Amino acid sequence: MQKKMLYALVAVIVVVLIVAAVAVVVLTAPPRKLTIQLWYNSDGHYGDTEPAVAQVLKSSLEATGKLSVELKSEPWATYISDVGKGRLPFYLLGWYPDYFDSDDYISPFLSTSGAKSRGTYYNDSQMNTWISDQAAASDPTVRAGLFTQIQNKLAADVPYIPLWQTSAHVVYDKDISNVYLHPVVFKWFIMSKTGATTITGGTTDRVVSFDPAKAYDYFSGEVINQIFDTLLVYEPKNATLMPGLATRIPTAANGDISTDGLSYTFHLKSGVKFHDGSDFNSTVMKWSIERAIKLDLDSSAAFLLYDTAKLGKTPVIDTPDPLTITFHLSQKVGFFNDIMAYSVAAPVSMVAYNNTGQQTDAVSKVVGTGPYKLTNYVPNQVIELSRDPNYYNPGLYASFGIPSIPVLDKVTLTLYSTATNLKQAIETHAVNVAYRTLNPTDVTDLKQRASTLNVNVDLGSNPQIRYLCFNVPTSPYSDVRLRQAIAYAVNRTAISSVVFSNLTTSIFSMIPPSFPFTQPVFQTVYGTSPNLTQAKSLLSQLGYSVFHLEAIARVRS
Amino acid sequence: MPKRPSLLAYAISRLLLAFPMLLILLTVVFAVLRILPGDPIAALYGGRAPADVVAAARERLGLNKPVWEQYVIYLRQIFTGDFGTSLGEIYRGNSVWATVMLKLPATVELAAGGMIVASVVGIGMGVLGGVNRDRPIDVAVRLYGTIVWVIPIFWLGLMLQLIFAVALGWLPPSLRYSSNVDRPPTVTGLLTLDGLLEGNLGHVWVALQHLILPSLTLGLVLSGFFTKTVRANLLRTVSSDFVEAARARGLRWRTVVYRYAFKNALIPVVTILGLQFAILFAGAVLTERTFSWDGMGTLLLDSIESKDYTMIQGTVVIYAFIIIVISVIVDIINGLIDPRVRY
Repeated sequence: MQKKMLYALVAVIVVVLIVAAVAVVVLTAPPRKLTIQLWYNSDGHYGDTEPAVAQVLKSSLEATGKLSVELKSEPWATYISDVGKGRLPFYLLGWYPDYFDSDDYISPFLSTSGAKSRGTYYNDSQMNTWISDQAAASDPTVRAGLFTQIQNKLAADVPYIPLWQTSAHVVYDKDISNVYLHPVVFKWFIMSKTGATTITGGTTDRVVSFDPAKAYDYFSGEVINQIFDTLLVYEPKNATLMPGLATRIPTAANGDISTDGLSYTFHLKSGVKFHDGSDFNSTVMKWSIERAIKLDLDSSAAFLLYDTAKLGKTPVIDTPDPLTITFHLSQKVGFFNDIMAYSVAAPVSMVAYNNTGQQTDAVSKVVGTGPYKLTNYVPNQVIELSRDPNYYNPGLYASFGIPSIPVLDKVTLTLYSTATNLKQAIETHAVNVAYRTLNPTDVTDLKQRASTLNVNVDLGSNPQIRYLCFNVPTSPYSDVRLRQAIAYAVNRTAISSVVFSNLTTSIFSMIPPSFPFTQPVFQTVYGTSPNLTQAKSLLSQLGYSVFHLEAIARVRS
Repeated sequence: MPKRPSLLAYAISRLLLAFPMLLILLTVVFAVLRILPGDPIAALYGGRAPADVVAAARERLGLNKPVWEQYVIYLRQIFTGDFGTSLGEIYRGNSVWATVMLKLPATVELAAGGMIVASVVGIGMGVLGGVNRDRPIDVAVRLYGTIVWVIPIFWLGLMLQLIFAVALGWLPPSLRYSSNVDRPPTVTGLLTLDGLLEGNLGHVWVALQHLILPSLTLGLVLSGFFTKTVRANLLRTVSSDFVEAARARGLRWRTVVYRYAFKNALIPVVTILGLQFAILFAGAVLTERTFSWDGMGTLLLDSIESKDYTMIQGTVVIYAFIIIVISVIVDIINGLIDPRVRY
């Protein structure tokens, strides 16, 4: 019996020794490939498709034969916190613009302060100069020249790799008209339905706040734009500005922009009233902008006013008379007008709002000048918008064939928890319009069955872009050749076809194709499809050939 | 014979024991949230705001204080009934208590619906299996009990939605209420009950239609456990002495089973039913997600996603409180039925 035990013990020791020896050999063997980690968020912040995107990227990088990609993920809250702290070396992110100027795709990424908050720590003084020059310039030719230089340097330095532009989709009953996938804001108040005065819409989005001083997310902005008007508004289909509460758009030609470019004067429409009956005038406008800046609410867009629009923390705003308001900027900002069309710049009633805190979401406390009034809100369930009978500007879109807005008396928005619920809702016509966000496979399925289901499925582009980021100062990404090799290897077409049923558009610059000054620099430099020969040659220069002996095998952040 | 402790003393001791239970739970929730990486402020800003703005926000919310100090503040707040305000993206600035109370009725309605389905189906199937021991029908019941118990809730929910809502169009696929029908005025927050109080049967019907599929989903999954318990208990009682004695006295089998054995078999089931509430609430989280049912489960998931410390704490504390209260009540009922447990 004891002998048996002894044998067993010896056997166990031998096995352990063999395993240990194998482990030592395997672990200390020189790396034949560079192992890198690719990070993505695990809890659906960009939809349920994110793991598949990471998988496609992994296989396109591994096709070089010299890279081995480990996929890593975290929930969004942790992820974005790690991004901000510069802890992730190589990761996927997305961007939805705050104001509709090409600058919003450049300075948040390539300026030193912007790159720091994206977690890439890209820092280039030449780039900083070009960025502030183009922001101050109003001449499109000057800006075009600067944007060309900026984008060429972006492609050479590769702190980011632009991948694709998200597709937008909306599914709606066949008898509804004027449903446009507007690049800035989805307009419910222009829709009409044959023989109906009300419609219901469905979404998986949630409202963060109805207070313009607070809202800084897509859906809150969407709802606010039905209830509140801004000085300038957008055309029904395009991101072209037109006067809203103002009588005309300030330009240098009409003298509303001062010669030094630092003062913007707006002339206001007269007789405008808020939903609570109080008057709109220059004093209210001034007070509303000051309120947003003074409150500077957590995670709000207030910084767009005081920082991006250069109004400062103590803005200088003149109101020479009730219908005139002049904003004084500390520095030239070429896209100031665009920021005046963003929801943070919407005037609020001085009677209903105070400047000591965020407005509650109680129905009677949401008071704007827009075509719809908020008449019911059950958080996480229902938002009900009803016609403001005294709306000041029903003829806003008359020249676009929409004689009077709002068209429908009531729009009820229903909030669903999952994309599947939203799909079922439009399938069973429990809602008339489904907007944001169905799964790509469901969109394809609905499109195929559109005539049976009696719905229209519209697809369009979306200003949201998706891209890869590098923590530039961190080894091994500090070597630009590795970043370039990855730029050669990524397969944009595969992401679109494998993951998104070809609903997305590949992009080759951080500025999406629908915006001015964009140039497909990554296509010019790295090609449309993966160039594995170039990628391999760069990686070989770095020493990652078959018998490479260098010690760095893993990236540690 | 020693004096038997009074029911009152027993109840008090159970309540006192619940207190440390709650304290341990509060501490675990607090600790887990702080140990996990990530931070609510960063999640809120999505990496867009400058560092100084983020730092200022952290200071304002007391997140820069030492952890032990945060813990003391947290306990003091909870025991004074102050659950704080939400830090998350959706409910930011709203009172945690008010928000949880707003969502609680939806979960209670769903839990009640699920419990009714589970009891009716579970007990029915259990009895059916028990009285037909080892016949094909019993095999079917046993199979049913095992299968529904392991079916994922979201899958069952999806199948029911596809069949009864999308294909047949009999019932609405999701939500608590139709968005184009007026809601009954809020009294209890339970839409069916509020409809009854309003006296509008049309509204009750709308609410009931929405309640059927979620209740079935949750109830069927839970009914598996009930089926097995009832069946096992019935078999045990059927083979006990008093049943044999009753049979020996010439009572019909049917009478013995339904009049005597069934009642005795059900007593332990009643207490198990109470304890199932914990599982019921866990199942409700998934059911709510599957049906866009805006209750505590959805609230909890949303809060976890946005690392809303205060809201997660508040929700979990309320859940724990409900389950502790129910288990104390079950213990007391148990003590009432069977004095032996009072020792």
